[in-house]
Amino acid sequence: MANIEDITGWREELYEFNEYGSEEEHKQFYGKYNNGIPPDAKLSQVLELVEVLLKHDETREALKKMSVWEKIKSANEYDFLEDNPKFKERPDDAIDLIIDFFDWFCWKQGYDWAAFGFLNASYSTSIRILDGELPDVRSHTTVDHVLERYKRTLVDDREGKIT
Amino acid sequence: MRKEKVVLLDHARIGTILKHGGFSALDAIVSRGDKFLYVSQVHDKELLQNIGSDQRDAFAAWLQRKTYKGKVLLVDPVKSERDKNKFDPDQKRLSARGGDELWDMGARKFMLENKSQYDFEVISADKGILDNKFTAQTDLTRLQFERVSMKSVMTWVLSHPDVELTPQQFETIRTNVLKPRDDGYGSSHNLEKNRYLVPDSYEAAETIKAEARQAAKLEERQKRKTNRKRAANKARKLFDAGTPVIITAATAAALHELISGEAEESGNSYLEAAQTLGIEFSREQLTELAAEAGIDLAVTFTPIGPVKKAWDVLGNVDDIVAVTQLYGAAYPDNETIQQMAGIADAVEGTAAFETYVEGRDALTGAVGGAIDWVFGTSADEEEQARSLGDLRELVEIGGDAAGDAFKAGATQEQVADVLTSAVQARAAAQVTSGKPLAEEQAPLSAPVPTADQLSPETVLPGDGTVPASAVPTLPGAQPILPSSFEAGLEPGLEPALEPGLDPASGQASGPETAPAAAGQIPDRAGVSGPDEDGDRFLRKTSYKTFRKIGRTPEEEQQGHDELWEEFEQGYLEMNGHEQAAELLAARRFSRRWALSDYAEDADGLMLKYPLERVYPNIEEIGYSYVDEDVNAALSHQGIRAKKWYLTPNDKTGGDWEQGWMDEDGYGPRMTLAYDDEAGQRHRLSDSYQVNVRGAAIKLKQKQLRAERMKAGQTAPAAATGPRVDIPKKAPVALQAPTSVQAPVPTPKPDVRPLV
Repeated sequence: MANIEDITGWREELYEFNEYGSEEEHKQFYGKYNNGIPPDAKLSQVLELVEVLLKHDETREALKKMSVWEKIKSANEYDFLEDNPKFKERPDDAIDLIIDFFDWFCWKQGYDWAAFGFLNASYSTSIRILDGELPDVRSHTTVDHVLERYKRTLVDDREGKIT
Repeated sequence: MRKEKVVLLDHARIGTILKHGGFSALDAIVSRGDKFLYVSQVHDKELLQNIGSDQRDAFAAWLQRKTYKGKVLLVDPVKSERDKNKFDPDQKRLSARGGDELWDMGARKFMLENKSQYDFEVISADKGILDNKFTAQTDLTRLQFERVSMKSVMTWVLSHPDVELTPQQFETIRTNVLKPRDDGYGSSHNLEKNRYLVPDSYEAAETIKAEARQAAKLEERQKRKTNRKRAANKARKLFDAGTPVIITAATAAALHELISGEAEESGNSYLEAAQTLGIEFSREQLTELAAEAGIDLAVTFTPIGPVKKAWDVLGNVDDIVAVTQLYGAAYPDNETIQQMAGIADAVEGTAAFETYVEGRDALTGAVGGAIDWVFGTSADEEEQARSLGDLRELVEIGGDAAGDAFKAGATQEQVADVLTSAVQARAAAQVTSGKPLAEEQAPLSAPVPTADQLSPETVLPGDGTVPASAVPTLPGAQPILPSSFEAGLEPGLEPALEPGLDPASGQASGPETAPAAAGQIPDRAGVSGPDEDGDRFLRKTSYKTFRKIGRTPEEEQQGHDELWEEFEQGYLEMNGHEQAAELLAARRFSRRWALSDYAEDADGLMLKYPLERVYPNIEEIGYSYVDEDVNAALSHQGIRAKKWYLTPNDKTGGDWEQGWMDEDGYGPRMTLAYDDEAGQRHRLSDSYQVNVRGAAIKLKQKQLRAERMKAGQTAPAAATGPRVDIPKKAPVALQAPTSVQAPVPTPKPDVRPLV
């Protein structure tokens, strides 16, 4: 699959699919593994999504807000129940954007939406790169980090590296 | 039969459960049922909202493990506004107090779609989902489910024997449980069935847990003892004359292990333990028996080899099951043996095993073949155990269907191949290649058929989502050829294919050519045919069971001769590969020979050139055109028939060899007979031909009418879009082909593995 250079209109496309796609199309995309076992996420797809999330202003801005939220979560050892004052700082719009964008990305690229840990690995890696904890997405360091950290739910599908 | 219970745990509470009780608490909660519903995206959002990255990673791995163990069910999230209105009819999602209701909607959707298959337990702190009351009129109010509040389930966790809590965790949970009303974990619900007591202290909880563990331990011990007795009981007959020495020896070794285990647990002597289990051998006798195969009982010995060998060498299926269960009871900690024992249990638990004598051996043999594959290909014991676990699940899920396949004539090798392919694909899915799973069409991407989805006729109906297993089926397993009809639609496009070849591929029809008309019965007088989707209620019938080749000794001899000739030919072509030659012969033989639903007195009778081989099976309508044709002909003659038959005669084969239909579009000549209302049989014609082309044209006209109507209905809506022109000229039957290709051959389906 080609990398996504232009994400203009992604919301409209996703809305179109969700609202007007046939039941069969929805089942095939969202419910493909309802009676089976989803595959593991693939390294190439995770890296691609990280790249796309970081590349475009809209998704990058959302990640920035979520990065702040991640730090609040890490610094607070309590539940984020609705009566918690910190709850108001949660960037719900940014979270919704990332979730929706993930839907669109998988749909656009024909990737398995339900793959184990796909969103989590991509999102968490993006935040780490954004925070400067990891270098460029295609660097050895980042690839090795992704492979190691998500080894239980990730397949290294690079050429000659299928494990 | 008891329905499985699915736990629907409000995903918004998973984070809290993990934080307060860890994965052991989550494990315990989801284990309240047989399965756990996971509404993936809802929880993804929850993870991003409330859960830190470490726990997110751990959760993904946990979910993966649970999924592989078959504990997780998925439902696609509710996305469209239409569905949102359906599953959140009061539009709570739009209210100021409501959340986004994503989990609630997913849970309701799942329950509504699966209410006949499962029981449900909904665990939530949200009163709304537990109340299940709506102001809007909706079917959701009729959903039946058990209610458990978050408060109750966390109280239950406090003294659960499998949940390890630190004193601090205990106090956190207890404090939240005891908080009034909507604080903490929220309130309990007035429709909850169970009330759990809050332990006074950490120590009190530990005491309760210890007692529960002790009770479980005693129960487990009792269960082990019962298993030992049962296994020993079954194993005794393995010492009959004729049992191979390796099995006798390994059985002796396992018995020794059983007795030792019983002696150790009960504190009795070896002899007393043996007597308790009803084993009459002394230690010395068992030692001698084991020594015959070079097994030294004094040395720790886990006989995986011999238990596997049992599947190869033991002829009697009961013996195989007995010896495997014996090992299971004797070696409770060996996972490979436990999986083997589980497979034996699964085989024994199939309906085919209980009721169908030939099926017992065939099923066991097929499973043995698959076990061979596992042992031959697994890199290590871990992989071995995992693959055996997969096989066990396959037998549990699809064993009955496999039995049905045998009844329908499938060979042991074919079913073994299907099982092996499925295990192989599962293994591949776990290792996962570079290609997307969807591209590989691995079986795991295929829906797991539930018992009611499995055809009573066969386990091999294709749905286009699983890889073909390229193994042909003996006649009888797949009695009906796919249609070769497309070429016959238009004048001048007569079928160019050799009869018996799959029109889609030009290849011989094989098992992957699943019986497109399976499940259909001729709409003979007084017998209603299936609906367009196939008759879901068609019962499993022994009529499908192959019993005999040919109607006369001469025909039988002819059948055997032809099969032998095909084998000889195949043997040469396959360079002396006997198994391949057998399969090839079966495939070729099945081009002409099959069971028939239409022939006279053909129950279980393999006939040459039956209707199902010489008339095309047309997509969408199957053989209903034959029924219509014959019913019309009989009606035209003023004949009131109770039943009618189309039986091949000496003209049928010759006609068919020339083509699917003659120049006028009529199929091969057959004998038409009928039973009158008094049951008297009458032979009407030996040259009855069904109008095949007429049926095709009729179908095409019908489809074009439907297409035209559809276009007409959508035209107003498309006013702003491209204009839809409806063809108005010329008789539709003579128009050039349009987007409606009618009729077309049945798509070549794949062999569906047992899951």
